[in-house]
Amino acid sequence: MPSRGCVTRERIHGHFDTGNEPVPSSETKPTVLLIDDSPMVHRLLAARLQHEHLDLVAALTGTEGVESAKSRRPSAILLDLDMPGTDGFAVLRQLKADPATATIPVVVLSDARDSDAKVTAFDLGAADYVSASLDLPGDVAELRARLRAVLRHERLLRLLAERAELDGLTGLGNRAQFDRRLAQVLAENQRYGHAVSLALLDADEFKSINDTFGHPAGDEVLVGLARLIQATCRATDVPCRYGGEEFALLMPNTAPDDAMVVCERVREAMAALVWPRHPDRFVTISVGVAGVPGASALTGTQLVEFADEALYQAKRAGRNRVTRATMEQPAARPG
Amino acid sequence: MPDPYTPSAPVRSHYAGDPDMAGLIDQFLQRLPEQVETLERLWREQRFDDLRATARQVGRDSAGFGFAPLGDAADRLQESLWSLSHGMNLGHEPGSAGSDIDRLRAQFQELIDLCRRAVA
Repeated sequence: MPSRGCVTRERIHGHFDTGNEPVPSSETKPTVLLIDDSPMVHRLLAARLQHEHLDLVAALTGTEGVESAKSRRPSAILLDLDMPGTDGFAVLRQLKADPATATIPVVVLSDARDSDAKVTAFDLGAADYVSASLDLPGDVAELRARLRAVLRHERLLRLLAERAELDGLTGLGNRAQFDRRLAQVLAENQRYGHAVSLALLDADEFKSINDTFGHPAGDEVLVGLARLIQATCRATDVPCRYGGEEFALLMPNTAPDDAMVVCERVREAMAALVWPRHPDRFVTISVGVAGVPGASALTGTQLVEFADEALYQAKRAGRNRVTRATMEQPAARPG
Repeated sequence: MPDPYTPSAPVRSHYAGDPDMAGLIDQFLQRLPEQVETLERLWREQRFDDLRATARQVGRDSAGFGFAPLGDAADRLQESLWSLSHGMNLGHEPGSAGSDIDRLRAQFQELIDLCRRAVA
């Protein structure tokens, strides 16, 4: 029986809720970027949209608008197609060509009466097309309604994208989220020299839990471990379900020594848990930790391999422990 | 309400009294004389492309602040300037350049006149 250390065993009361609530999205006001050359139009729309639940941001040129869109990532853009000296279609094309702004819905404002302009705008990816004149009360009401519709649609798409990166069972990020965040964190490491650490946490002898007590019991263990990791890690950490019974905990701005402390806490707490379906059977985890204290040329694949090798060493050494990678090239594992 | 197209009748915003527009109509009217000066200068200098751009701005602003007659006049002037710049005739006498300029002048004067009559 693996050692559990001197910790109080806590009985978990009640039924583990294996339902999955998505990570709630931000409820802050959506930002709408208005790209229009007329300061009076900016003032007019600020007045007309003041009762809408949004923050209006101004850009007076196409260039300023594109830069603002990249930096602020607004929920929607209102784009005047007819700015003097500026090809509004070129601005639209630029917004749609850049991955940073391509998914932001663009409502074009234009006085062009011919359908060719509308067709071009829609073909370039505009979400909607509204008269720029706004001279009738109905025009303003229509703009408001169309903008609300665009923002509703954007919010739904954002929720879908968030759900697409969630693991259905545990509610943690899934592999897709892990891969994306790992790339981001390593880019920051290389640019700013921040420390970064990665832990791979694996439930010991998990198959026997499933085989002996059934898959619902196995699911409860995974959910319980996920909650433990979430409760222990910091707000800036990225906990994800990496595989079947394996979890990844990406820790930006964290040196390996500190990562070891966090993981040891999780290991200890996990070993102390009492499971309602099998109160006499404890579940432990093995953890492999890899990381760098500063800037590094390490790739995501290499970091994962180091952590994985450390996890393997933890298993080999008897499980229920946290092992740190030596950060030398891992040896080929016997098949 | 006086017909805005009656010469010398004041042209009022149909948003006067709209609480959302409080203060904004005054701001628009404060800026209007400067825009009129710009229009007149561009006309004297025969810089018709710039004149069209300025007329467009005046038209949009006017329409948005409830001065529909100004917006309409600016639209007519813009369209005529665009047609001329693309070598098209404006008026009803094809091939008559003099008539085209007269028509343009009349539209320009109409816009200037309406701008000068705009009041809160």
